[in-house]
Amino acid sequence: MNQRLRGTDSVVPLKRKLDMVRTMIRDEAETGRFHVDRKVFTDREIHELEMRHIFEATWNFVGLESQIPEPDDYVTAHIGRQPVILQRGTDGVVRCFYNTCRHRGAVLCPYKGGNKRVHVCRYHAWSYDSTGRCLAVAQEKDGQYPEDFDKADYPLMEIARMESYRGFVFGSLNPDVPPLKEHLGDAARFLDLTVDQGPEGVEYVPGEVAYTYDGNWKLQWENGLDFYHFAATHAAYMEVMKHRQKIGSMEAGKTYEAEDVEEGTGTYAFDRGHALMYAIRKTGRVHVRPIAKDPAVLDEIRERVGEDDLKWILRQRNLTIFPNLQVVDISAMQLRTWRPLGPGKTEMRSHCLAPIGEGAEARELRIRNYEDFFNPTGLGASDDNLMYEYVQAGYEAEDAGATSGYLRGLGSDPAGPDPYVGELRIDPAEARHGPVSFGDESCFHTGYREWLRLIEKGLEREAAAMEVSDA
Amino acid sequence: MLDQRDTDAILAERRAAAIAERLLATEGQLLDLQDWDAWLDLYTEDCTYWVPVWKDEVETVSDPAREVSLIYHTSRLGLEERVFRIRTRKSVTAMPLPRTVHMVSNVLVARQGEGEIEGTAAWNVQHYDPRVSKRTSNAGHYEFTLRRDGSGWKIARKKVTMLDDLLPAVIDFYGL
Ligand code: FES
Ligand SMILES: [Fe+2]
Repeated sequence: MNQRLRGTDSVVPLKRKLDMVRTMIRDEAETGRFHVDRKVFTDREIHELEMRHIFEATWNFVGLESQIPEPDDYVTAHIGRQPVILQRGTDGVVRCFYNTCRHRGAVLCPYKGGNKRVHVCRYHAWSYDSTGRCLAVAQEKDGQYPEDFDKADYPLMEIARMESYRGFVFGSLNPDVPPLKEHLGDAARFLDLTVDQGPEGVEYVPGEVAYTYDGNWKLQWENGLDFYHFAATHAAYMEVMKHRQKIGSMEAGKTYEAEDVEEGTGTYAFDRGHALMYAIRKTGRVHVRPIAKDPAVLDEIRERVGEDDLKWILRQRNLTIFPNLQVVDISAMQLRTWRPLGPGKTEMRSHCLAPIGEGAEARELRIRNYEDFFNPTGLGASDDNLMYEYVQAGYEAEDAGATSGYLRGLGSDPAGPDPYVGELRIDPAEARHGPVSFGDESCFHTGYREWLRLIEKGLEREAAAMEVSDA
Repeated sequence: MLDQRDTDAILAERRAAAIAERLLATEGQLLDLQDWDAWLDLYTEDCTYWVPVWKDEVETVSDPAREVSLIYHTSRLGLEERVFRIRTRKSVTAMPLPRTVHMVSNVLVARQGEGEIEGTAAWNVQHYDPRVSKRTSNAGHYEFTLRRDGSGWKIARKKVTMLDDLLPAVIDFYGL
């Protein structure tokens, strides 16, 4: 039996589950309706389906190559529920292994990261080199192993697929996924706009912030694309900004937009669940951007990637790569990734992203800007985190029926066709733009379509395999 | 026999410890009472307030210019803004505010000089959130520098190291 077809379901419950998930996403965008059932956020069975058929069946962001620059560097992570090691081998090749010993399963590497040429299991001391080869089975000779036992048959298990896009490493536990480039589609252009901020790419500023909130992972995912909540949820933060300007404690914000450019916000939705939200601001929430501290830095970027890309680098961009990566670029760049711990609990990992080789002054400004807004201690994100908890608690009111949080943007667009896809060199599945107060919600739809597609595909595959083995 | 110099040193050390203990206990009490103005008044205007991030299993970040902190303020303005934000009554993190009990112990003076006392302490904050009817606790270590300010003493530097590196959804000054 295929390793992906684990579990004990028989065909009937699988078909019941299929019917259940199909009723949960009501996708009638053409007629102006799109609903997501409350249970999608609260139900334990749905959570199990998500773990098995989404997180453990499609490309997940795992880490940055720049986290492990040297031979034998490694970091540990999870893909879905499963622990993995992202390891650069002595041969310089990056691989992703399940973080489990081939002998009796102990976690091989209990640390967040480090440098190891050889991993020795703490339990019975089997050892593996950094390319995954099993080097030694302790006391092998005296072990009365079967004749055909060969330690060469017990390397660390590599996950099914691992690929990197410009230093962003993704892994899939399921072999049946398209090449990463195809999976990312034109959403990759917005990873370009992240990576291209430095001639050598980007790195994490040391200091990962990990936290949990008592809410579903999709609340973070939606929020990262949600411009609508800003004025209300972050009203206190906006007051602080005004106060800073009043008492002169903050350098005045700055727009990088040309005079004839109109303010506004918009979204792009891509296939396979990815989406982007952008803002073009000349007044209001504008910031001094760390990369703009030094004109020579902007010149270097302009020369390398051109005026259009630089212009978009200086605009607010909130990118979501389905299902577990967001890169937010505004006063600082934040990379956040998550893993669901249950339908009502999510573990977040947040990083300050920065161009490699950035100047000291810009770097410090970046770090302070990042701390100011993000994380449980930030003046902005802490409000978001609590809102996720309030939404999660509210979703328990199952009998209150469908919500209406996916409708903005479904009407006709008075602003006409999107003016930017040409200069961005993208061909998104959908594009919508409007004034700063637009607050599109239709950019979430692609994620729910991908959500349903993956769960359907997983259940159908399981049902087909059941029927074969029953026959 | 103890000579005068010894007894002076002992007394000075006791005096410094008593000042530090009193000041830190007062700070905890003012936070518990949510008397923010009096709390802010315990800090010098040019104070440093620093909550570092755990970099790995054993080390926290050590250079706020090049590494991420949870909170890093280099003047009282940063703390004043946090109070200001709560007082806008527009932050859901403070509607309602949790109730807290601050406990500070193991106050040790490491150095004392003309008008300055440096030392360390351990802290525990019990934290009850009426929003979810749940009690949690935070704990950690303080490093502090106190400075004589006129006739009294103020906090010139405080570094708050949290025990945990997997944090709750919200952490602010009143819970540290
Ligand atoms: S479990 Fe690893 S050596 Fe036995
Ligand atoms: Fe937000």
